[in-house]
Amino acid sequence: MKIIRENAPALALIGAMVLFPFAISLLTGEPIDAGTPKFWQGMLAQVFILAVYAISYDLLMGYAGILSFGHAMFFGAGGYVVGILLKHAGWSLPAATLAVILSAAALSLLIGVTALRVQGVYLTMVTLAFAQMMFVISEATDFREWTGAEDGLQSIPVPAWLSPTHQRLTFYFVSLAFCILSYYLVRRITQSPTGRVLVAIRENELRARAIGYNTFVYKLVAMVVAGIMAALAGMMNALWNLNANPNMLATSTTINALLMTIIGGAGTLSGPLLGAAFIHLLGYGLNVAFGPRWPLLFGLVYVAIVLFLPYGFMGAWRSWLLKRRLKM
Amino acid sequence: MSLKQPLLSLTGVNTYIGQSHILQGVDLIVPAGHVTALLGRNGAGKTTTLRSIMGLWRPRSGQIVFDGARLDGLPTHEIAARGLGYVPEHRAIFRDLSVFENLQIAERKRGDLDRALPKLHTLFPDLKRFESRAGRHLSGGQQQMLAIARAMVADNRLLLIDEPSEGLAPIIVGAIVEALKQLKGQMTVLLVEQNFRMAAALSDFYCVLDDGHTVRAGEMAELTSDAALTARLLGAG
Repeated sequence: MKIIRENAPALALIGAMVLFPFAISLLTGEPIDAGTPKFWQGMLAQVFILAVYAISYDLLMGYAGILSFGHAMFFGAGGYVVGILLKHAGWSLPAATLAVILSAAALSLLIGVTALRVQGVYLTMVTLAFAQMMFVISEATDFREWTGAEDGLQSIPVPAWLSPTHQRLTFYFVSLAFCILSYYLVRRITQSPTGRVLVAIRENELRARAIGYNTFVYKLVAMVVAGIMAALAGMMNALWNLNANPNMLATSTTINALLMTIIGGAGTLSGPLLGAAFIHLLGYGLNVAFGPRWPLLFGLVYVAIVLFLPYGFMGAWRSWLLKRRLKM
Repeated sequence: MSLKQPLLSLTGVNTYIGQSHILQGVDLIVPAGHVTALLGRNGAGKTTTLRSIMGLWRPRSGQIVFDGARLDGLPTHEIAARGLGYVPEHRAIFRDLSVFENLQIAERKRGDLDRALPKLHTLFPDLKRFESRAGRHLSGGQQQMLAIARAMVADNRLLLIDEPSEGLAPIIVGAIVEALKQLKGQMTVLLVEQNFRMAAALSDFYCVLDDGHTVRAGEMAELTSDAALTARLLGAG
């Protein structure tokens, strides 16, 4: 009972997300696997996938204080690994998923061991350099046969049961489960002693070392967990789009993670979740209303949020709660 | 000075920060079971000495020996793990963590905190009262108490305390002195303190630095009984 009460808002949200496809279908009177219900399942599935990507970035930036400009390389790597293995190697999805996890772990270890030797802006630059390298490779015509070069890797053969076109509802629930599991996994980490050490490192790394922590190892762990999660999100994204393309590896994809995290509230886990939903849905809305000029308006929204809600949605919400409690 | 076996000793330690030669041959002995005050004017090298011991600055030459083993050259976290608790200046707590989490994070072995907590709560009752409060919302004195308590969670054999009275109201300083007095005889402490009266009240031994050199060391009683010597060594007495 206590567990249920403590997690009431989360459970309510999960319940709402589970019922959502059916509710839309009831409201619109359209069948659940067509028209408006199908469209909105797709929108939310994308939100769930982006949310995992944003949460993984928040673990790095919001908790451990590691500002990486190369996070997109994990997202893109996940997409390409699953795409190449499904399309060219004929692997099964479970085997390809395992390969995504292992390759992301190897990649993040490599980047971590190299980049974490330096700090601050230097670390940011090293991660950017690695990501740009991957971006260039993805566009290289030498590997066109495997990657599709600048066209991207098209028509990934997603297993029929998970097809985002024909089994949209299944894809929706798989994405939802993926998001919930990732959220709780990261929450387990951030609420564990390891999570507190990460916060301590963010605040003052020397101090954490003076207590006796090998801070390098902790940062490396954060980097590997975040890298694997981002790669899995990239994999889901490729399955959704049925393709992997160089844009997944572009700097703008990293910036997207940064924006989702900051707008939602860095260092909170519900923040990036909200940020992902906000950016994806608002982007869609602005696109419908204003056409291709929408990024311009989006820019204004960003500026307004950073000016008026410097700690993001969750930060603003928490300080409002605190103020109210102090008044009472 | 007449000494029992030293727990920590520094011999000819030279530390550079960038191009600046800050410690120019510091010799220091910290006898086990006693409080030793590291004294000297501003900029004499006291804080740098503590930071050199912890490996936060790497000494370029000289030896730092703790309990018979060399510390110099080891990474900071390994030095800490040998049993050194460091209380840096400026009330160095983690502001985003609660009081309890600040203590918990200092556990080196499972059960450290359970063992230490009753004693810490007796020494600093505020830490019990504000257990769930975030570090940033504590007063300066409470932050200082938390910083000292944090260094006592693990089974440390030596505490390095840097300027515990800095920037605190006299009444708070009094409370901290009282708490530290209770540690006397139980712990080995190396204390950096500008406030000579506080240092004198707490310490058994002293060491005076000037311009990065050790200029004199001995028993605290020798300083407290000789105001002229104190004035000569420390400027305004």
